[in-house]
Amino acid sequence: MLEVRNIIKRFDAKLALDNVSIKFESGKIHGILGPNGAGKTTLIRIINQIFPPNEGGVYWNGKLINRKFLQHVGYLPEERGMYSNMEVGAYLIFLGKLRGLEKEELHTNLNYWLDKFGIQDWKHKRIEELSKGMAQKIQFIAAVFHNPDLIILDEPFSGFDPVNVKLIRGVLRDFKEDGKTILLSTHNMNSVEELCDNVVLIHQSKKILEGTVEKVKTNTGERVYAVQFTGNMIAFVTALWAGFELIDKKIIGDNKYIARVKLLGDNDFKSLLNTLIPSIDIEGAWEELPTMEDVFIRETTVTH
Amino acid sequence: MKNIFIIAGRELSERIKSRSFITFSLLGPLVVLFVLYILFNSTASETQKISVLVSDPIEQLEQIIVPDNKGQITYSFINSYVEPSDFVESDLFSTFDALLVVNEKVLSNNHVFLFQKQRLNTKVSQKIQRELEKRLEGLKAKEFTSLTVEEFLIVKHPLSMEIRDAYRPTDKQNYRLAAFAGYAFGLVIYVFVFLFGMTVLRSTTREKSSRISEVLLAMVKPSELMSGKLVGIGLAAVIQFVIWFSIIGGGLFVMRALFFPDMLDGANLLANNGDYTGYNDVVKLVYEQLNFTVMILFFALLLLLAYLFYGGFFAALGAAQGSESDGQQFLIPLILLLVISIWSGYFVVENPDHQFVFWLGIIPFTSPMVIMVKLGMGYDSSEIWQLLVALLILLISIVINIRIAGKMFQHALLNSGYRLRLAQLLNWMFRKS
Repeated sequence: MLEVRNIIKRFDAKLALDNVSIKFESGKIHGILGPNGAGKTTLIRIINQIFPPNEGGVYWNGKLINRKFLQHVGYLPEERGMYSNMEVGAYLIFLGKLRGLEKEELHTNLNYWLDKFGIQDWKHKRIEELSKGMAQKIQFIAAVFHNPDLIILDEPFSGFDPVNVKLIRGVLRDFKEDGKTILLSTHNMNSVEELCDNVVLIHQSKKILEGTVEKVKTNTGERVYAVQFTGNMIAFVTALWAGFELIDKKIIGDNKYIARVKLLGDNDFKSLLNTLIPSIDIEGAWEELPTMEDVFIRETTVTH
Repeated sequence: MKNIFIIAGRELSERIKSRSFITFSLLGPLVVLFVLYILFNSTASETQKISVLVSDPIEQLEQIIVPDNKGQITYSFINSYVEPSDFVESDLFSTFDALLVVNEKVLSNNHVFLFQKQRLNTKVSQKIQRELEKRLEGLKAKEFTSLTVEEFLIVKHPLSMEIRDAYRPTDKQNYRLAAFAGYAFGLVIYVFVFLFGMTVLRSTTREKSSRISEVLLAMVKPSELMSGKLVGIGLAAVIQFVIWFSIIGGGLFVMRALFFPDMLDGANLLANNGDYTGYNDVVKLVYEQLNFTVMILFFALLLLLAYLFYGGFFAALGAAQGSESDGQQFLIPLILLLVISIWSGYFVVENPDHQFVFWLGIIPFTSPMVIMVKLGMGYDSSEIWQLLVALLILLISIVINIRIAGKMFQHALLNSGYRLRLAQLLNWMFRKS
């Protein structure tokens, strides 16, 4: 398990991280979310020991990490570059050596990953000859080439087509099954919902939200229900009266609608149904959880 | 440490595979050999045969000008005026290279004309002037004095002042020329420091702008990245030097065998009392006077030290640039330092005993150059301590420099999209890690 404890980081007068503590359990994918400039990249760079925090520390299985630990970390930064004049194979081997792999492992791992992605024939291609998508694949392989225990990926899906996104997601799920700790920093909320077990939201240098995806979505305090009905929309709105708030509606046929309603005060799902049944024919009703995008926008637009 | 070698290996591999490296390694020494050949042959040009027609209407010279015993210049006399246009156009004069017009009043006005069909070597025209002057002196002695020519020549003989070292009075070495040889070595050091320093700068800027530096810094320390880069590019320089010296050394050996064979001939040496009189000073300097073992050893050492001293600055400046085009203005002071160092070498050649020479010799910016010049001239045993102090100061400066440059490198490498300012540069330099 990776744990960051009471991290404070300042750049001259600017406070980049303000007493941030997070636990990242092994065998799970953790989403690190936050608007631009929130402090996500600073946190990731501190975990990668690119620079130290002013206060606090980073722990792996309870022990304060040192530079040797970097051999167990795989990192794909958002702004990633490559040596364009190197060959694919030589580039991966160079980075593998820096991660401490032995000669035999270097070649075994190289062949494993080139086979897995079906790109064995790229081995002697110069990186400058690759398309953007092809280069992205190599960058992803470079991050996980040494089979790290902690994988940190910053916007890993940018530049990939849907087929390759599926491929990368599959690899990440395999890593999760193997008990790796995966940190995913992204603005792509669909990926967060599909992949992440836990999320942490950083805003204005502080951690403002943490938990499983489900918990984060249900703990927002809002209770929204969708009602599918046949009848008159005016009658529906009139029936709601006080205690409920219509959020939006969608016409799905002749006099057929799906309306989203927020419960106010002490009202619950039962009282909503009791209110509506006399006025319309209800065909179905269900609770609507907010999307991660809703959560993100709401949490980052209120002042903490 | 292992990471430094991995990074150095990559840098080295990139350099030696590049076309410019191969071209510079092979063409560079060939150009040097060609220049040396030209220098050596400044004596050989004196063997060019020149035929001079002397126009002496009143036969003052009595058809006598005594050429030197090499027979390089031959004089023919004509007792009439020859116009330069006739001299050029007439078939009669087609075999002559130059026309020397001696006017009737030459003994009083001391003025003659030499018309050349093609530009003569300066040494040849000086020789013609000297030989005519000698002949005119004889005539003047006869005309204006009661002295014999021999007596006149004794009176007229110029004073010869030979400058020698008081501590080594029997030493006949040409110190000025030897100092220039040291200067040439120093110049090569600074040219290479600049070339390879710029390689370090460009390589760092490229890594920064391509954003691979973040990938690397997640694996290695900034100081390891900078050191690896310096070592790798430095090794490329060493390899280039080995190639340079092998080609130049081999070329010099071949040149000696082909063009100056009697330097290898013991009989010739004995005949000339141990002096190769047939060759110019540069030939003698290169083949006899310079202590190549010492020079090359110190050259290699000082090249390495100067490269490490300046290389850190180049790396830091590369890291500090906000973009590839930014930061050029901060390169100017660095280049200025290199230029001052090159000037300091020339200053020492011209003023070997000036009080500034001591300081220029121990200031790390200029010391590699000054040490090379002084090595060319030869360090006196009483000055060895200066050499040791200079090397020590240079070493300490390298350590301090790399630390400061490492800090700038670390703080600047992950920053981008700014306009580089001096205040920012100083902040990175002195901020805590």
